[in-house]
Amino acid sequence: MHGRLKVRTTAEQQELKRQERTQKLNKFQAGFNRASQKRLNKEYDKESLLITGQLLAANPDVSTLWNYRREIIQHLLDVKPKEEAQLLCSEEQEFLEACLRVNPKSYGVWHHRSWLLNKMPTPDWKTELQLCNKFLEYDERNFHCWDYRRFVVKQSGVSAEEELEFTSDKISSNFSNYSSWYYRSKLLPVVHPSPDGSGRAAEDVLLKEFQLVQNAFFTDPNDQSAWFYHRWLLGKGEQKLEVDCLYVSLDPPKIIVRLTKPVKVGSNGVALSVSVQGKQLSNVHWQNSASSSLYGSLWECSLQDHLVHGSDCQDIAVELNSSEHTQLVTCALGADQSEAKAVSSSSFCCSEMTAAKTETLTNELESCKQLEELEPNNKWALLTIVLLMRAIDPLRYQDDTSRYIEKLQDVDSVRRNYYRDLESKYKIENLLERRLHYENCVELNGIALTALYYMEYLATVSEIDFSSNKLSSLGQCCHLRCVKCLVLDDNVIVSCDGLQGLPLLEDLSLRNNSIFLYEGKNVLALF
Amino acid sequence: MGTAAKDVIDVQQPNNLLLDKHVEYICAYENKKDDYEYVMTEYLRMSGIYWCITAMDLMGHLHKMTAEDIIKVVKKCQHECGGVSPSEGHDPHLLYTLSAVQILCTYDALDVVDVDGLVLYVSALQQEDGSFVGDMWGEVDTRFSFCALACLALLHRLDAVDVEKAIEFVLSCKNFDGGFGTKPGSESHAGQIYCCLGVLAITGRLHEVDADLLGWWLCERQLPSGGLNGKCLDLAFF
Repeated sequence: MHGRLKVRTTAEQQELKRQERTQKLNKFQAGFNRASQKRLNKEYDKESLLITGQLLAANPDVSTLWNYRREIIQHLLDVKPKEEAQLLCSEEQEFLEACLRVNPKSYGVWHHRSWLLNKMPTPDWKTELQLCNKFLEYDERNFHCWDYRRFVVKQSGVSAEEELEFTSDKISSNFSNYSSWYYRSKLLPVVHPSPDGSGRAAEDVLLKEFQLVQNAFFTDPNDQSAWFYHRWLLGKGEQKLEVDCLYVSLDPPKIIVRLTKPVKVGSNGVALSVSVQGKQLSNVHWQNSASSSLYGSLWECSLQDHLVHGSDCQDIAVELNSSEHTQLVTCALGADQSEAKAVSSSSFCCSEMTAAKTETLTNELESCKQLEELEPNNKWALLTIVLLMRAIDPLRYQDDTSRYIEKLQDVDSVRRNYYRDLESKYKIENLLERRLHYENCVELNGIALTALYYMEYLATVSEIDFSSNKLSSLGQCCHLRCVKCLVLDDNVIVSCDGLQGLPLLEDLSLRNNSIFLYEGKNVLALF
Repeated sequence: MGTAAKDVIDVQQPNNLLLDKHVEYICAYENKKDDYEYVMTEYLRMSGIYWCITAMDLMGHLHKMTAEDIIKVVKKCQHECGGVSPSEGHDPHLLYTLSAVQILCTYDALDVVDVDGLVLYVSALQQEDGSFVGDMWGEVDTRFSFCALACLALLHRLDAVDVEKAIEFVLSCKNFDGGFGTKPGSESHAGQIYCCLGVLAITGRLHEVDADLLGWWLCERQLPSGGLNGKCLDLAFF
């Protein structure tokens, strides 16, 4: 009958699709076989370009075809005069742009383009930059394009300042631009390096960034990019290598050295030398508390035969020698003392902040609290408030911090375990900030700890109570080098791994945990 | 103006992992040599084989794959230069060299290939700055650092490259969010992070990672659907 629309059944549709695909398949195989044959015969002609072009336009991930295409182009560049060579390259550029329009995220296409630009007699880097701009308009998160842009910038000598301008433009036109913020984090320290050589950007510049990023998250509080960038702005620079603590004991005679970051002590690493009463000791064998790694921040050596009981004051000196830093730390073991320590005077969490920074951060905190009032369930505002409080004054804000973290667990419950771990970390930081780890006895019980942090800082403590928490693993306990009495009751401990090899452990309590039977046998074997 | 959150739509999904169906699907693949997908993915076949046999092994069904055929295929794909191609008729590449070694280790059949040749091929791909190119055509990517070191670690031949330099290059790709990108200056991406952490794990240098910060970035990959995206504000596909 006329005028009736024929509707295909599902079976017919499937059959049609199958036929289409078989056709495509045969065409591809025929083309690939033809190209492979020509390649074997070392044929680098127009036909080869045509065939590989057709195949690659639809299948840009077949890198073998790009390889052959490069051989063809290389050959033609070698035999053709300069103008023709340049024309060939321009045509190739057009071909690649067409490929990119269909497949803007193909590794093969972008790599071939960079190969081509390096081969071109007279590359036009401005055009390349414009190509990048165009593709970033289509998709500002295309990392292939950003990487290609960085290649073009490097080859053509575009300055970091110009690139920084570019990110400013991108961000002001659309704040939701993780890639631009990220690029900024790389450019700022280059354009405005901090005079202290830390590799961070200069402080006044970073403080201005707070303003910029605040505009971003007020415009769109749900855009993650600005919040991630903000967290980076709050971060500290690279930790400098230093001796943080030198501990000496007589029973057993040993030294423990705590460094500010993990290093390898010994050959190919950092040197730690020991002197007793002014005489340097040879054959000192340093052991790392994290026995499974060559690297550690806590190192111990025995002073058997070097320290004497009933002697007058004994002077011990340790010298750290690394490519970064040399430092001498001394400690005196008095006549009636069985142990002594020398500790760094710097505060644990709080690096000294300039007045300008304190003011900026305090204003930030106020702004974020205002945002929280407008959007009480915005987890980014809540988390940033916590991070700001920690940066400004951890001890002053500790109760507020706990309140906010509790709210975060509710508002962003998928990540509640992250927030619980974060809170555990902060609680231990607070303890260290109060220098409670210099006592002989430390109590960290009943504070909902889900994980242990900074255990290297408890290396000299002899009695530790971690009971009534939510600890499941004890791996970090390997750093408790002086613990005699360790209470771990009422946790959810699954394994005793981490307790083996603790040299001074005498009393261990693990009541009411979740240790498997075979693990229990391991515990007994420790003794 | 708000940011539209990208995520997969929640439709009726089964609540358990249908392992039997996965086993069936993978087994059937071996018999579909004329199928559209089979031919069109020839350019990554070696990796495809590795993914299939590993999945089968994890499910306890490795015996259902024909080991001899697979090992024969791997052997055929090693080229004179020592490297391995994804399939016959394709060029060798570091990606497929690793997949080949992984397959042979699974079957404990490294003796069927020229191991010294493999080592020579891989080590020659290291550049002065410690990075690795994928093949003679010069693409640099931290994925290739992982391929090279994992390959050599499996062959117990890490001595063949400058490991310190390799680590140095990977660390130069560390970003403000604790993650890693393809090259120095590249944005963090979960795939690259996997590769870089792989390099650091193999070489005992995981302490160089800011685990708390990176852990946070990674857990922010989880979307309400439960799936994970590869980078900030992307669609879930992991």
